[in-house]
Amino acid sequence: MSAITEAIGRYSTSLLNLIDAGLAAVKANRDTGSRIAQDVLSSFIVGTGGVQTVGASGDIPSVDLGTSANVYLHFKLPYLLSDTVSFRLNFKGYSYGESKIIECDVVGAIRNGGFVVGGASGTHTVSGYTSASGKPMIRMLFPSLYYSTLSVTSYCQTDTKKVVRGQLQGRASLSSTIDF
Amino acid sequence: MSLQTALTRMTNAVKARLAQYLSLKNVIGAENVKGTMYRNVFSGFISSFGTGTGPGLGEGDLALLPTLANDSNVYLHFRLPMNTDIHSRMFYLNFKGYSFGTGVTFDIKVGGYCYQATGQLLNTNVLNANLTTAVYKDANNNIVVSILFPSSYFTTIELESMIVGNGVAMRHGDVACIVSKNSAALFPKYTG
Repeated sequence: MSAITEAIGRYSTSLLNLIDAGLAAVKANRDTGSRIAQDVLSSFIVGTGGVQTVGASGDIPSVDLGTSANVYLHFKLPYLLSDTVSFRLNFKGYSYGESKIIECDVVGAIRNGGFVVGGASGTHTVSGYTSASGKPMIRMLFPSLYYSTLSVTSYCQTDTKKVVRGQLQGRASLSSTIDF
Repeated sequence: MSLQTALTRMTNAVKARLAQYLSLKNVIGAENVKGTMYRNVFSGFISSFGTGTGPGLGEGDLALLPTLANDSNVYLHFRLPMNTDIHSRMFYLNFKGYSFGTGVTFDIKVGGYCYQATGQLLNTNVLNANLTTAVYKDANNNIVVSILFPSSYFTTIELESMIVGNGVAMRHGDVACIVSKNSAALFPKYTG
């Protein structure tokens, strides 16, 4: 009897592992075939210095800038200037320091060796630039980053070129242009 | 252990794992991470209150409706899972839907902070409200969001929530709703 129950125990473990792997694959592939990817980046920033203190969790590293006011969040896009792609990024969240919902969009295209931002709208000033090392960058200005939470959704003309989780890198800085 | 016990244990483990994953269908992002969006927090439909001869007709989370005289100027009050006597929680909510009777689609975002230390509702913001939307503390200190529908006839609403700041995940069942013609509602104190 104990041999059978042991066998059942081993089978149970294998079955649970199989379920975990299968469902992880489903989650990873949820955006496959879609031109939209959600949860591309998520970030919570306590502050970047000053009385608001310093701290962050999620995809944007914590940094001490000496103040949490008038801070840019810079996002490096995973495209080369040699690519041909058009995209939209949507930012959602809540800035407690600003008492404000975050809801803004930026659209852009990379073609003919250059990066152009077609337009931006919403609650925060969003714009684009090319970094010194030739990477297409998006920047977003926060009057206050204190206790701010952000989630990014991406859209792309081509489902295989959309920005997905892990591909967007973010940094906070007082400068309007950075390179990383 | 007996064969039966082993099999039961295995079955329960598999069922629990599947239930855990099925609940993740409503989680966009990783569980309990700030920035993660929870879908389907509240989902319902109001058909009509008719002429008030009986309870209104509705579906989903709005299946049980009161008796109201008509479909005009109806408030939906949503009690959030937080109370200023107990919780310090920031919140982000997205109310979406279509009100045929009013003739609008809506996509309203609400943020704020239920702050226990001073018993206040702080730093609220309502964005894109093409319907009159208010965030308030009711008399039992629950945090409530109300949306006024000039007509609630054939109105569908869906609520999503993001974990922001020091807030927590909201899931289906956490938000209660009172439908009435009054601009303020009173809910039993939320203590969960």
